[in-house]
Amino acid sequence: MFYDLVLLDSGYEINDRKSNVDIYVRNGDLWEQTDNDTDDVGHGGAVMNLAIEGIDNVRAAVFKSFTDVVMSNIDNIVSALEYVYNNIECRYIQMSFGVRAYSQPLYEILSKLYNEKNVLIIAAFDNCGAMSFPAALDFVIGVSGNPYIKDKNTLIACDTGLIDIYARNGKQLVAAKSSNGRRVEEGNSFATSHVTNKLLRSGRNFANKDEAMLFFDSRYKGPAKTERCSVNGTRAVLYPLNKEMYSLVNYADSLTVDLVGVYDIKYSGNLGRELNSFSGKKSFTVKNIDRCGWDSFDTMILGHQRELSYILGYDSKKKMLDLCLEHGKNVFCYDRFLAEEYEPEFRKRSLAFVCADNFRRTPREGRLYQIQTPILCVLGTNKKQGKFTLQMQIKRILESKGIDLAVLGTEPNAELMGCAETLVIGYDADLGSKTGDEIIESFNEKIHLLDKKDHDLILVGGQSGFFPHLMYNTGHININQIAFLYGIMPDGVILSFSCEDEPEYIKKSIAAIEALSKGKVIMLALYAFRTEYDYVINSSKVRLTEEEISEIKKKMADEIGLPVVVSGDFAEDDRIFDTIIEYYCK
Amino acid sequence: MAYEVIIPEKDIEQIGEILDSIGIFVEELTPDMRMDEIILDSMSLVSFYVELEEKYGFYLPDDVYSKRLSELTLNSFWTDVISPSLEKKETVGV
Repeated sequence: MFYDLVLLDSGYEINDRKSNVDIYVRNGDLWEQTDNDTDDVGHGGAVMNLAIEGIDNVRAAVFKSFTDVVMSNIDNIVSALEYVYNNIECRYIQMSFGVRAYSQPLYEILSKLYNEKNVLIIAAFDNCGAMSFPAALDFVIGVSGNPYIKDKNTLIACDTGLIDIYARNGKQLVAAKSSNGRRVEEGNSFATSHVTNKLLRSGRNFANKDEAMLFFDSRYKGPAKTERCSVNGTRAVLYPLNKEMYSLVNYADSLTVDLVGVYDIKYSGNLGRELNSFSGKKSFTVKNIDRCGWDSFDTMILGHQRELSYILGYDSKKKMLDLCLEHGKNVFCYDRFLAEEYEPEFRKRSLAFVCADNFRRTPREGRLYQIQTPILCVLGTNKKQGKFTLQMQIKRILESKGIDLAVLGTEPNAELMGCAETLVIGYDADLGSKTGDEIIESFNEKIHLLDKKDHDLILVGGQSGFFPHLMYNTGHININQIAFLYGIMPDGVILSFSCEDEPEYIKKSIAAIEALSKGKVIMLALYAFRTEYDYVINSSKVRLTEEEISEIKKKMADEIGLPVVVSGDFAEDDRIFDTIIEYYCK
Repeated sequence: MAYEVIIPEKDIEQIGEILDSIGIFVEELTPDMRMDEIILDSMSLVSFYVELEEKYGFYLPDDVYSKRLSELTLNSFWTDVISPSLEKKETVGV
């Protein structure tokens, strides 16, 4: 059986039926043609008749895939598509609906139809503004309405990689149930029919989506492709030894690179220091970068150097990038300074130039992915509270129990630490200068990338300062953290705190986090050190005594009523695990 | 005076000026003060060494930078770090 168009929709009222449209309904595992369908919703008939309007000799079929305009059964949709894949030849499939949660079975069957059977899929985006599928899939022509398009023949093609075509979605007279004659409807469903109509009218067989998009706009180039290089598995050294670098040393034996050296400027007071990984399996002596052994490694990990350059009186990062080019070394940079200038130079020499802070979100009109995987987030009342250590502890505990965990890191070293995704926020991060909307969209997109992979749990790296300590200056109000929270929307939160935090402040932080997100703070984690803050290289910290720790834990548990654990303490592993499992499995 | 003065007065003043120029003001610098009581954070230390080299016009040998500030008083910093470099500078004309 061959059709020009297969429509998955609410059915097709038999009295509206055009002779060239077949109707399929589900009967158990089979799909059967019928001559006696009713479309109680009225959506299918309206969409189909718009799609084939004015075209002679078109062969079309409607698969009655849902009977409620609000709720659709994904099983019905996948079943219909599988039937089409196995039994029908067609040029186009139109889906003037979508599901808001990513569905792997839906992706797989549509991917097979597109790649193996050369079927073009045209789908409508959600009318409520959510990200929806299949419209958001990269091989599907995703259609959204635009109220400023007044003419059904006007279609605007975009190459942003998400919404492919804008079409008229304003009020339009459409066929409805025959008993009611025609009626006025609006929405992306009908915009999608205009796109299908134009494709059908062309009479062409498009080889793929790109070819169809070029038909709509000859200037179409497709979404920009980003080449992602990697330094994984290479022998790496780090420079300079500032605070973000210590985690690499601490976890040196579980990095995605083989850390073989630690370099710093001679003035730092660090030369000759002996550093050991937490496991004790790796140790390093801090060496002078002026005496760098260029033959001993493949990759240089370059940390933040803005303030260092200011003090040294020359651009330290530029100097290092030039030296890496000269010696043929890959680089992994924590920030984007000089990236635009140097990335092409490294590429020319076939060297990797990896920038931790490299994410560019897809423009998408604020559409948010609806996430299904549970999310756990480590947050803090302040900086330097061992949130990263706690995150690694949680990762170790959950993975040791066989839980499939994916980590989204927010520090520039996240990729090196084996996090599945990275989105840097904080010091000198590109995202820090973006609007709240962009921050929300970016984190939502990153979470979606993990959600697609169907992990048991997503763990998101720590940020802090949701409730300002002071309100003397806008700098005291970390507004980006609020956007971060909306982007993540954690189900559960572990809140890290310090011995200096008063219960009242912690309570206000909890209230702020719980009010802003849908999640609940399930546990408090004490950072058992007093820290003297030194924001660039060193910090001096003194561990609290056991008496102090016990006193603080009891005080917080009594006043706040949540379990309190000590970050990084192996003795707390079971309690951390039990609290997480109890919350997520209740 | 409970300590023996080794560092010349003019050099105490000069170190005081260096500290002042990097934003560290010490009302009364005394030769027995520990360096880690004067220079409290890492970026100040970097600034201090950069200014020191600039002011005295020499590059300190690498082993100097491996010394811990907590191990040095202003006096020992003078005798162990600055004086040898000054002598070397005069000898070899660095």
